[in-house]
Amino acid sequence: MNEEVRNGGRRPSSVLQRRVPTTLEAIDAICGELRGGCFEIPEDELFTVELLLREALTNAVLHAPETNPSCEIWCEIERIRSGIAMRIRDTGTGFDWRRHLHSTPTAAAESGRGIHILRRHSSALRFSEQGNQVEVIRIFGQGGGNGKF
Amino acid sequence: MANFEIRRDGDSATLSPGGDVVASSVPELRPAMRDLVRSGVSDMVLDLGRTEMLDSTGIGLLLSAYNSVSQAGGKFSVVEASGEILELLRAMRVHQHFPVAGRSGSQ
Repeated sequence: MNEEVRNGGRRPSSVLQRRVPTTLEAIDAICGELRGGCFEIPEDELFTVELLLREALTNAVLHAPETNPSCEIWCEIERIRSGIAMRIRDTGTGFDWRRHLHSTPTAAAESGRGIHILRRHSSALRFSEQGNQVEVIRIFGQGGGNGKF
Repeated sequence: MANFEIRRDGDSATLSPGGDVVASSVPELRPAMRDLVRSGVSDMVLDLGRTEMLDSTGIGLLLSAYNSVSQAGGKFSVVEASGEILELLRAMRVHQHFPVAGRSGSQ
C-alpha cells in the first residue's frame, strides 16, 4: 500500500458514505452519484473509477448475503489528493480472496473477471484478513496495477 | 418495458441495449439473447451505441452469447463500442474471440 496515499493528501470533506441495499440496482444508484460529479473525477478517469466501484460492490452484493442473509454492506468513497479511495465492507463471513487474487481467467471464461479487473485497474488493492472488506485506490494518471488504464 | 431493441432481418439480428450492460441489466438481456439463438439467429450483432459502461458481468454475457451462437454454427460481433469499452475488451482479450468495432468503426 502506498503510504503517501494512505496517510497524506486526505480531503476529509470529500467523503461519501452509504449503506448499500443488497440489490444490483443499489449499485447503479451509487455509481449515479459518482457520475453526478461529487468527486471532481477527471473525465478520462471516470470510466475506470466507476468500473472499480462496480466490481467491488457487485462482489459484496452477490456474495455477502450467501454467507449471512441479514448482512449489511457499507460503502465509503473518499477523494484523496491524487486520486480516489473506495472501501466496501460487509457483515458476511468473507471469502478466500487469496485463492482468486492472482488467478487470470481464460479469454473464453464467462465469469471470474471481477477480481482480475480490480487487480489490473487499481493502483492499490487490499482485502481484510477475513475477506469481508476491500479497499481499492486509484491514483489518477498513474494507470492500473498491470495495464495502461 | 424492455430496455433494449431488436432489429431482425432473416437469420440476422441486432440487439441494442438502451443503457449500460452491467450486473443489474444482464438478467434482462440474457434471456433475450438466448431467445434469439433458439429462434435460429446465426448472425447476432450487439450494438453498444447507447452503452457507456460494461462490467465483468456484462463481459460474461458477451462471451456467453458468443459461445451459444458459435456452438450453433453462427457468428457474433460487437459494434459501436465506446473507446473505454473497446480498451476494456482488449485488455480482457475478449476481442480474440469475436470482432469488436468502436464508434468510429475502428476495430
